[in-house]
Amino acid sequence: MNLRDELKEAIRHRSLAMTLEEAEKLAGYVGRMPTPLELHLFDTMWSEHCSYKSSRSLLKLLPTHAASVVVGPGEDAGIVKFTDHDGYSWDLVVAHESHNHPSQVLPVEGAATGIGGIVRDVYCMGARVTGSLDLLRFGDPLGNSGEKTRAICRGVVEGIWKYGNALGVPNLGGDTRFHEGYDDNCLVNVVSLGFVRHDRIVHSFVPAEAHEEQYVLILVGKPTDDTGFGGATFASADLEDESEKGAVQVADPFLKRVLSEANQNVLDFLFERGIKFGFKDLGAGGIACVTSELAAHGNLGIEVNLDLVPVSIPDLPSEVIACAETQERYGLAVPKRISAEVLDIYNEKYEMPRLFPGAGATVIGTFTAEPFYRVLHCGREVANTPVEYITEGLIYDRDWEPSPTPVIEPDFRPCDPPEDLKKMLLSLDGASRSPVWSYYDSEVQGSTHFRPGEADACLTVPIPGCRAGLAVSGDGNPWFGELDPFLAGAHAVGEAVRNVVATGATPIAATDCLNYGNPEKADVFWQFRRGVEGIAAACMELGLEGEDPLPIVSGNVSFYNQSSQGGAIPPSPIVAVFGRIDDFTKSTDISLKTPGNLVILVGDRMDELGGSLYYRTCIDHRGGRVPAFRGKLEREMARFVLECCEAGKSKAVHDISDGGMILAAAEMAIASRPDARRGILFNTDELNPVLLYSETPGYLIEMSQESWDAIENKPEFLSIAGIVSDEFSIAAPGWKMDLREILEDHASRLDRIIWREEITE
Amino acid sequence: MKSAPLVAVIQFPGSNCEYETARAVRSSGMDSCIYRWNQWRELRDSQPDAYVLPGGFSFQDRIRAGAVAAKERIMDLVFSEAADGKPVLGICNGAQILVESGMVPGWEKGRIETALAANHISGRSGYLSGWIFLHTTTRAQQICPWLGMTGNGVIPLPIAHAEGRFVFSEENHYRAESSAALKYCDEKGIESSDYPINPNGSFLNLAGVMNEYGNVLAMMPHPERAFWMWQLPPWIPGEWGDRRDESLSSGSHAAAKGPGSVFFMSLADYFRGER
Amino acid sequence: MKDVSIIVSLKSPDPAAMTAMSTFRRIYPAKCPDNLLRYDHWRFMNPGQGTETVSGIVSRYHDIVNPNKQTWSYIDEFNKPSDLSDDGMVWIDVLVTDRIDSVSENWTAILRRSSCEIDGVLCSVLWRFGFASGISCDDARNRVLDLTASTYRDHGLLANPVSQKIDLPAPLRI
Repeated sequence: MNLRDELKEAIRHRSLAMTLEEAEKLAGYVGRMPTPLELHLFDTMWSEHCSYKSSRSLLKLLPTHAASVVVGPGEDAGIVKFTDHDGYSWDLVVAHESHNHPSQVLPVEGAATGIGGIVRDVYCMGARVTGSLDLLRFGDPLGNSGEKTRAICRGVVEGIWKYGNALGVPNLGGDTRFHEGYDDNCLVNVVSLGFVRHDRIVHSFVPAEAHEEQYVLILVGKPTDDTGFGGATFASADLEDESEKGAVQVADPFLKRVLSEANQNVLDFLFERGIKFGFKDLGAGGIACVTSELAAHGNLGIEVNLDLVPVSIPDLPSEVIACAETQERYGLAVPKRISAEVLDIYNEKYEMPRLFPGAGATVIGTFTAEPFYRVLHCGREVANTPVEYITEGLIYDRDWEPSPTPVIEPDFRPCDPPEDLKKMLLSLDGASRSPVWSYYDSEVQGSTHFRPGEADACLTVPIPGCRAGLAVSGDGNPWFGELDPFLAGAHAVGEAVRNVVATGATPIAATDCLNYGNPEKADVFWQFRRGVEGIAAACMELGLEGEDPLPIVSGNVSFYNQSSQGGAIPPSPIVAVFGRIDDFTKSTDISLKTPGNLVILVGDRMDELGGSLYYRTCIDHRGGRVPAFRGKLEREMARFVLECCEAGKSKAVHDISDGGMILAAAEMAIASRPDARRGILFNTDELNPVLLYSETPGYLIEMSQESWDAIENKPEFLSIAGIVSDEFSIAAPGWKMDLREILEDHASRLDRIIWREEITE
Repeated sequence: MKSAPLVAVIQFPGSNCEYETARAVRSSGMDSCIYRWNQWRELRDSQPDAYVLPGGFSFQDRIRAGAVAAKERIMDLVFSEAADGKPVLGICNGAQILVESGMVPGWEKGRIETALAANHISGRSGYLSGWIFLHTTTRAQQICPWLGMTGNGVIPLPIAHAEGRFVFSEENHYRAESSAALKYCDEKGIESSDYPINPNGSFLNLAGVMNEYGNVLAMMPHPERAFWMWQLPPWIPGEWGDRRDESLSSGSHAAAKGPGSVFFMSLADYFRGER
Repeated sequence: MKDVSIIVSLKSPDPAAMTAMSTFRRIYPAKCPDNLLRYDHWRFMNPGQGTETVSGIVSRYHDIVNPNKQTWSYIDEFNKPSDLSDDGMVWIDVLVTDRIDSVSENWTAILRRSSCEIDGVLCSVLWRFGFASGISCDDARNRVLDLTASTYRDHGLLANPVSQKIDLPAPLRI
């Protein structure tokens, strides 16, 4: 058999995702038929999930630089400067990823390992993880795949709470959306954030000191098994059937918690002794990826001995030990001379072997001057490649073919505000998310100031004694996505920015996760392209710190969210924005406070109701004209909102998005104190759907008459929409909707549909 | 002679509220130190004046929440210190550990006479997080060092647990009331066994249970998460909602103490009285 | 009216069983068993098509058996007992069930709602103690009860009798 045939056979026999061309390239690098381990290693490294081969060239469009950025995209997490306190400089560490395919197949495990994976990325930069967000997209729970969708939704929520609550990381919001385009491909995007002292940032490559003295690689955590074997390639393949189950990883938050305490102890020890080290978590591609990357990014080689790897299943083949994706493992590159002390911290001080069968820390490799990646097992060499090729990566230029959706607007737009509002409040997208949040612990660590639902963004006070607050929000509207991929990207940024700004926090960084179908299809690749361009355009315009754009410091691309029956998901760019407020006591929530106060509308309402909640809920139409992105205007509105907050003028602020001004008004009323119920009385009688339901970006602000009068040179985009009333209703001179009628339904709707399955109404 | 009382916070593998609990102690004018489960020698040598078992998932809730931690060597020390009258507070998972150690209600030394079972709510199983109100029983205010300053008012606190339902066997129902320290109620102080006022079906609406001498308190809600006024949600009704609004308008919001502080301040006050 | 029960176990070593064993070794060295296994025990009450109904439920609901990390089998509690296995080990089972259990109630509701022919389901934990030969079955059973019922801080571990029922079903082999 010649080499080509051998490679073909190996690809088939081992279910590799790599193409024959890619395999031949690898054979060229090693100068022979690659070993099984080498094949699996490169299969992972070159998978879409790890290498971004389809997307890298386009991702260059995203602005990633700003004065505040400490570490941009490229390492496990992004880092921006946050604040100074007590003589130390504190940085915010953020990461954003997807775990879509595994969650579709095994929702509990998939979502749990999604959280497990993303917090690891923040931990391994040396940070304490202080929050996570989940951005979920499910199919239609009342549609053809309703039963499956409801089960997946329940499972994902369970996976997230079982992991996050046990780990002690508070859930700081996210969003949950339903759209039939996700029936066969749910989306589970997760964001994690934390803080690190600037002088204690940890890097994921073996340090330069390893050229001068002997460094070794310590593997710590769970004993290796065969779970998740093929996970990275699994994420890069269309979902076809349930035989993929073996590729879903198994999460363990208890071990992660003990490990994170032990890790912190080890990091403190290394920093105090002034020892330089490298630290990285094991994700896709397991031991093989981590060992090769630690070495390659530090320009060194490494020799790994698989006989030394603790395993929980006997007789595993080399490539399984090396590439399996057993969770809760880290790799640490330290000088040989202190390795015994490091092992002791894990094995003795924190008693890892006692707490979890087979867990612990072991030396499994040594770094070498020769730049080769070598792996030994049972006395034989099972891999030997030049280390530079491992991280070299591939780049493809995919074809793209514009396939815009025709703009079709409805002929007739009836406007019956009390009825329309009721429908929207009880719709899947408008109903309260508190049933979901009731499973999450949002207060562990004791730093939470605004929980999900209380304000547009969750707000924490992460550094004890320091008044700086962190606000975070994640967004992405699939209804915009299916109509205009560019605007979907732009508004994902815009909405997340608005949510952060509404609390009084200035956006300082963003992350993104780009979820699309099969990039080898030209129309999908066009959608992706437009999404990236949209995000880039918005970030360029929405930088509110000096002249810099809003930098994207971390992100992820998830392709192949597609199935043969259902086609691709709607273009789903999802963006998270992080903001800082210097004095958290000035932050604003959404709840109405004082009858008689004015309700100010920020941002004129335009006739662009495509993709709106009103269209799909009240007149069963998708529409076509999505709100335009007016970057300069949005920036000016944001500046205005921030100034009002800083000056103490705003008593409540809520951004306008789904459902337009009327739904925003209702949400502000519903958030009011149960023993001090408030409502809004609009000042116009006009039954104008554009005024009431348009989702043109904007805000509603509760402000006293005095504060309003004191604003000089009022910008053009301001107007008075109405006043706060002491009635629990949304009203205008000619109509009224009593919120008491729907309060209970609004609060329990999702619970009844998803958890109690009361779907016959 | 220490300058300030030392309150030891015990960290088991899987605990996750230890840091903010230690901070709450320090913010009440006392010293605090976190001890790992295998640092019982250091714990013994430092001679703490009180002990706190914080919230979390010790030992992954294996077998039963709190059951494994209750048997750890370090608990031998806490057990004997409690028998000597030292104040011991168990919060959430810490309460489960005290229950599984027989330290509450403690009618017979070391005997396990109550349980913290899974929440029982119609149509819902699993974790529940939210806010509740509770009040202190008269007897508890008199004898429990953690509750001396709670007064007769209603205290809002957050809960976050899957196993928070106090259970007593039938033959002990008659004396369960004597161990009652904290009970769920609504914001007006009215008790009800209905969800959500009683969030988990707990017997006698119990949110916290103490031993006969009152020095050991096991409570499910989290006082360390409501230590500061700024930790209160904006929608909290009643007196605490008003106090929150007041602190915002008077500019004292950052430093104002919240409802959870009273548990720790009571202990500080108790020590001042003891000296 | 026949119930069908299954037991579910982890493919890899069960951390709860290992923790229980190491706790027994440390605290009750004299009574410690030689082996301890742990299973989730599901009792399906009166399934319409017997084992066929049950296997249908198991393949449909991955929360009962997670194919990623668990295996399962039927367990027949009404078989004639044999405590002894071929190698002379004495195996004693003990079943721990919460007196009031939301999980069982919820699953019963879910299964009945989705038109499964079933009266209900009851979830428990099954612990299987193994003792080396030389001990009588009665002595073994007494030890198991001692180690299970947590009545004092230094007595028992696996069940809290205040909120949990302890049953020693007829001993058997899988």
